[in-house]
Amino acid sequence: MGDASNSSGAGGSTAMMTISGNYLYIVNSFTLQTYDISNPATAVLLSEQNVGWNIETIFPYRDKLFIGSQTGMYVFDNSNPKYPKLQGQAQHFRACDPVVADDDFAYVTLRNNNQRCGGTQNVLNIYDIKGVNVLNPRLVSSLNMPQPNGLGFKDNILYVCMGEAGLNVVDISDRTKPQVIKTISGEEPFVDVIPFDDLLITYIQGGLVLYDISNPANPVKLSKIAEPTL
Amino acid sequence: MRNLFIAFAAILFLASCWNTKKEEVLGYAPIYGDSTQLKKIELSTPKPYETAGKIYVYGNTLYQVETGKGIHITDISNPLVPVKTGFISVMGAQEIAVKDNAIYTNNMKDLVILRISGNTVTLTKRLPGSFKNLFDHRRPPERGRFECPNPTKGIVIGWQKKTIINPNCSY
Repeated sequence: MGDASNSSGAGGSTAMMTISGNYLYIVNSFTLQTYDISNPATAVLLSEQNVGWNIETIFPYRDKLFIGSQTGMYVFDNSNPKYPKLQGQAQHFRACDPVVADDDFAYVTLRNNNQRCGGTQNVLNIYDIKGVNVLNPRLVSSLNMPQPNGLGFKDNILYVCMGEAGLNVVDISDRTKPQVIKTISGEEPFVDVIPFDDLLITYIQGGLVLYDISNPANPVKLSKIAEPTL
Repeated sequence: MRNLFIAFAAILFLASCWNTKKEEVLGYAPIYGDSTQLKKIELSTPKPYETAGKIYVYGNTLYQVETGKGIHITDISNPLVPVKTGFISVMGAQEIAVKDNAIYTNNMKDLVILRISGNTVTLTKRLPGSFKNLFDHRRPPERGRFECPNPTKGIVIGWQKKTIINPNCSY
């Protein structure tokens, strides 16, 4: 779930490092580095390319890499995983922005909670990246929510962490009209999620909470390991 | 430049003396590490979370960063009863990814590839400086007021958000 290119592993949407197949990718403020890890003992940097300003996150999906920066989302064609190639980009207002994606759409959260990222928006944006649209991702909907941060999806449900404001469960059956169907609270602050088969792994500031999402619209808390936060 | 810095530090110091009111604010405080332990990577029994960080799941194992300090390893094969099984100490850790028993994280600015066998962790490969922009010892990841690093306490290996009293630094 979430990361089809690496079926037995997955990371969160706020990662700066990710694995796709035999390659490891690191984003470093302005650049994207590609490492060959087919043999970890001889892992080697293959290339480093400039991407843009203030890059913060990277998320792999099939033959694409989605990169979030403070000013936009970049889609890289990764069909040649040794040399990812910029395919399209969508600019947005200055903000922090994790991104996840499926075949046809990319999901980006923008938040303004800290001065490091600046910005004035707190919003979930959905972009059409189907077919040639990926060359120029088109915004199909925006949904305001408080301090949206890490996110992940299963089927037609998107989970959006909102720090102290809880975890939003969003129905995206109609990508042009995303609807919040419930907000989970009690484990704040929520930072990031990994939907992993029937499990929703959530990273909260104090540790970890697991939810059953065999019914994606209705996460059921299974367990928690956490220390009290300060 | 150095004189300017000393003058600036002196002003800050004096300012802190004048400010007798105890003021509590939410901000960043340095996480300190022992510089002699900088490159030491060890596997130990589970540790409590302090400032939980990023997550990566591989099979039935969840890896979660302890910001600045290492990786918590948790068996989630029974998600009703997840069990912490160990902790890898890696100074400066913030990022995590896993594939085929190889654990990728950062040791300060270096990419390190680790492998666990039995009760030990071995360093498969170190790629110095891969995370060149990840780390700033001088200031925290967000703007605002923060607790000034105190070199006598060690080197700054990370930052944690907490309630701090009368912070004298900001940017």
